[in-house]
Amino acid sequence: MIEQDLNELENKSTYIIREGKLKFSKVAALWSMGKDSTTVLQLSRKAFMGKVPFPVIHIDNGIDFPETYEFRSSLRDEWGLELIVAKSEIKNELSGFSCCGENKTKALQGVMKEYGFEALIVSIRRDEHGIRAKERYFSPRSKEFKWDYKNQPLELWDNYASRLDEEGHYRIHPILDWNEIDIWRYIEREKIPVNPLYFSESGFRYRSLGCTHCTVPVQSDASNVGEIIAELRVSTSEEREGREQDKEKEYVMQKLRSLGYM
Amino acid sequence: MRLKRTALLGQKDHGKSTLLGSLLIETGAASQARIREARRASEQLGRKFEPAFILDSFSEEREDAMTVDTTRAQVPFGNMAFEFIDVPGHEELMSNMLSGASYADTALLLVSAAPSEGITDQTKRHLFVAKLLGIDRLTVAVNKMDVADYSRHAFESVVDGLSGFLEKVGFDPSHVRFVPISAYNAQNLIRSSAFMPWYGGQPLMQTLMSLESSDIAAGGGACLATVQGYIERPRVISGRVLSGSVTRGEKVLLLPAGKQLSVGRIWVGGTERERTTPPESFALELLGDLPVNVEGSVICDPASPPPVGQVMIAVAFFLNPPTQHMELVSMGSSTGVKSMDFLEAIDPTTCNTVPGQSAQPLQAAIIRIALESPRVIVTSDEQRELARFVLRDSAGLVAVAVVKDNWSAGSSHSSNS
Ligand SMILES: Nc1nc2c(ncn2[C@@H]2O[C@H](COP(=O)(O)OP(=O)(O)O)[C@@H](O)[C@H]2O)c(=O)[nH]1
Repeated sequence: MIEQDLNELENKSTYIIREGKLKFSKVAALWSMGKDSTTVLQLSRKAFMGKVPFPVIHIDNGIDFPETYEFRSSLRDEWGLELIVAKSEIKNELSGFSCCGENKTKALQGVMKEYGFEALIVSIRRDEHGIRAKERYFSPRSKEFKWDYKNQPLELWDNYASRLDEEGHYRIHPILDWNEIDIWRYIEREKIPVNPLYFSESGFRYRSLGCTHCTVPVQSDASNVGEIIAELRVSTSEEREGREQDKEKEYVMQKLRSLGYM
Repeated sequence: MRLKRTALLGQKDHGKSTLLGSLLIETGAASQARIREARRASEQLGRKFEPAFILDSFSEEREDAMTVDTTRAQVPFGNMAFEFIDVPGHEELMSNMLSGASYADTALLLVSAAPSEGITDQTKRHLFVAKLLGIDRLTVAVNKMDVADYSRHAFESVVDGLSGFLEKVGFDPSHVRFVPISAYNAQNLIRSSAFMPWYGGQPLMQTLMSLESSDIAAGGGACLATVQGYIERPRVISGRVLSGSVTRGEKVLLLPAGKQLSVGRIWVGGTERERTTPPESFALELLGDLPVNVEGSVICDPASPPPVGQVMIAVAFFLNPPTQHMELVSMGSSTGVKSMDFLEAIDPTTCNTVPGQSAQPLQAAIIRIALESPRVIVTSDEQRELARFVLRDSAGLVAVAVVKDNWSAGSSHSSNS
């Protein structure tokens, strides 16, 4: 896995976060309490004189791990986060497409409408999946949250799109360029608090976090950030192998994306 | 490790995606799971193994065998890492090509040596645009040498066919390399090919490594920085340094407002600093009589301010016909366009000027633009990043352009504060 220059990544990401905050009047960040979205909060603090200058949204389906909820309140207090919890309702089907897609999307749509957010900061990375290579730093979503990936506005140089048609919103992707290992190296450098589920417990750890129903642990003895980095340096498997959704067909992923699933 | 961002250019079907797939396999960057998945996808579509499927793109792209949007792949090599940006080679998707290539430092052009393929208008158009976007180091991979019997003659006819055009576009021949390859058979990618003993040069990856990109000129020059806006009113702004440095306590000039200000505290990555240098994003305090709106301003050394004006001459490449209500966007900020005149139309496939008072989509032109309000106007020789801009209207992108020649009529020298 290629390790990039952390200062260069930080510079670009803080630039994008500032651009997002300055170009849109109502911005929020999605926070899953995972390593990526927590890293984005740290970057936002750095970009804005030590304080996250916008609300953070957790889409909560009520079945996240207890560790995740604990982590949520402790970091909220420590960093003074303005937390919005969007309750997502779980219907019968408890995995994959409708669970992660429909339910969460509905909950998010509700919050967006209630608060009138124009842009959402979302912590996706290109190296997560080939499809994400097609994301822009600023990526518009329609009113129905659809992603028209074939018809995206162009991004040339630092000229990110920032105009909205009617009722859509923008997704802002400040860490698109980062690789998984860069996130961990940055967490180590910045001493960013992390959800304990990432650390090995009797031979297993979570490499990426979803809720209790879709997340599968991977075999690993890495029990701290340094060990995770060492593990990634030699690993050849892919990050999302532990997630239910990826076992489904590729077109499902594509559907999820165009429906606005994060 | 710094990633060297390399745009893959070339006519559709000349093998860009195949090359990327092969490079990922050859360098060991693709996981076994990915290779298996690509194998399965090839079988499902009833095809021979397509290395391109390693790229894991949308299924419809596989079926249509074209790159709909940009795809990226990181390839480690020696002590370096390359990020290849695969841009669509389709004419209708030229705009996506621009977007992908705008993030690249260098370019790799593929030209098929297959008897029925060779140099096309699209090949040339890509070169024209790459140069316009500021790419000036180029590697040309002459691909599909396997179907040209790995012959020296086939290779040389591509070299000869392209050299004149490259010079006309403005590439310095000492910054251009030609390498014969077979992307499909992984020949001459990271090891010299036994099939082409007549080729005395280095394999593709070694060649790419040896061509240093030109744009890391950071550090030198007079102080120039762009301003995004206020991140904390009344006086903390954020922005990015383009050249020189900004130091605490020094006097600066804010353009186009023409205000003399001094620099207070500076923060980079949340830490207080004495100075900031390219390509850092900074936050800093400005002391003095600040304008209400600073978005899109430029901070510079009062001793050598860049010109400010409302009229500029530029070379533009059009994607859509110009309209009445356009704006110029540069470094994230926009200015209304009052009027635009065509001085000369240019055919990007020949680089010749052509008669006509307007440019069609996929054509280039030298234009004169009058802006609704003043801004800093510099040429690409002076500051590449500030010189480039896009023109857009309510429907989207109209053109990409680069300021070529300063136009002094009607411009003022920013000291009217
Ligand atoms: N014989 C041969 N075929 C190739 C080579 N490189 C690519 N191709 C084939 O050319 C076709 C188009 O290649 P592709 O990589 O999709 O082109 P792109 O449109 O430039 O990305 C595919 O069927 C490839 O298998 C090569 O080196 N030799």
